[in-house]
Amino acid sequence: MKCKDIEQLQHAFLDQELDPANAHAFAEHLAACPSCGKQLDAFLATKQAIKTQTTRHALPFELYKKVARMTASGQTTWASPSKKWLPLKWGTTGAGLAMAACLAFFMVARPDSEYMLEQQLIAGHIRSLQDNHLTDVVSTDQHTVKPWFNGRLDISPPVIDLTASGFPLIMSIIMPPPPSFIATTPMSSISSSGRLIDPRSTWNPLLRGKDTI
Amino acid sequence: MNDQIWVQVNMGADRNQPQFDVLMLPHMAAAYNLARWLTGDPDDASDVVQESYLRAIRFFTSYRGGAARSWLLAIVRNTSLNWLAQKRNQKTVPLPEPDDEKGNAGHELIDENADPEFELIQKQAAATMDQLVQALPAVYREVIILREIEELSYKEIAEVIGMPIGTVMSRLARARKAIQQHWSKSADGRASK
Repeated sequence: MKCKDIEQLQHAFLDQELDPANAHAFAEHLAACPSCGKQLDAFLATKQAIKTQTTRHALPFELYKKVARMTASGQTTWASPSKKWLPLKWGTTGAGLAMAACLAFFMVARPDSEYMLEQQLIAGHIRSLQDNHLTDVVSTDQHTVKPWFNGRLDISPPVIDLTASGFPLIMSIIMPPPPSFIATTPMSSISSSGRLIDPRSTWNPLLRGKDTI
Repeated sequence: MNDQIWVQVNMGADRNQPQFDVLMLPHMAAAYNLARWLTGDPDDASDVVQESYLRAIRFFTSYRGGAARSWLLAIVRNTSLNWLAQKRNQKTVPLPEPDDEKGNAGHELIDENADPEFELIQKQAAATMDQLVQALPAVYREVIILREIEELSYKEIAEVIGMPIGTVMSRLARARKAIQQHWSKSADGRASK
């Protein structure tokens, strides 16, 4: 192991995140190299200082009670004093209105399931064309795309490599269907462009994907 | 964004509330601490925590087991960032994307001219650790908080921030380097007083 490697691995070493083989090689180099040892000591001191001197902000008990009451009551919306979740604000752009109209139509018309799937795809497509929402994550790497979905989606979708079939991964985007379709089509599906569609998603289709979480 | 429409989704029927409480409520302290550090404000942090738990309830039916804390903190993190973005009055301020992914190692995280907060701290000579951490760009601040205060593993941090472990490691390295640099300067300042 060289000094250059040490520099790269020293934080993982301090955090005890090195695998045994690397940790062993690391320790061996350290024993023989005073300058690396000095550097590591300095980082250890910094780490300790951060750990001991950074404030852990205590959770206000009032907040805990409030949230616990909220979860117990099954509440799913709340009105923040500092923020405006307007129940229904039609806004200025035609797109919002059009989407809302679509949703209203779906809710009333209750078309058959095949038709609904078709409409879901169209709605998702329209939503994906809204400004600033052409792409959620720009990456050609499966291993970047998959972790990106963590915490944003209510599923962890598989990111399948379709390069062999002529569809290289270029980006991913979340295309949630209207809530009225929950449980109508239980299977998740992935379109060939690598876009993900999850019919079980409870997301509001009228919000752009990245704003919703 | 002005035409946001909030449709209440009724998840009450199939959501397992006692299980949610048992799994998610114990992590509220960590949720609050992260939200507090990311938003920098106690009131904002309280709002973010409530908002996050509401989202968590809505998504809970699809929680597939695994680390409840990382799952919840990922929601808190994204909610915090959205909150900040909205607070900035829709001015598009993209998160500072570090170019470590591109292998541009020469890029210096701390550039006094480009970072007014750090500049301010420099003038004070002796900064507290809290000030230094708060002055870090959010992408570095969050890994420091998750690692040093919440003591998450690299893997858990990667889950929370939705980045590969390598990115976690390089961000931690840069964050510590930046703090170290300014901390020792601050220490000199304190000593000379």
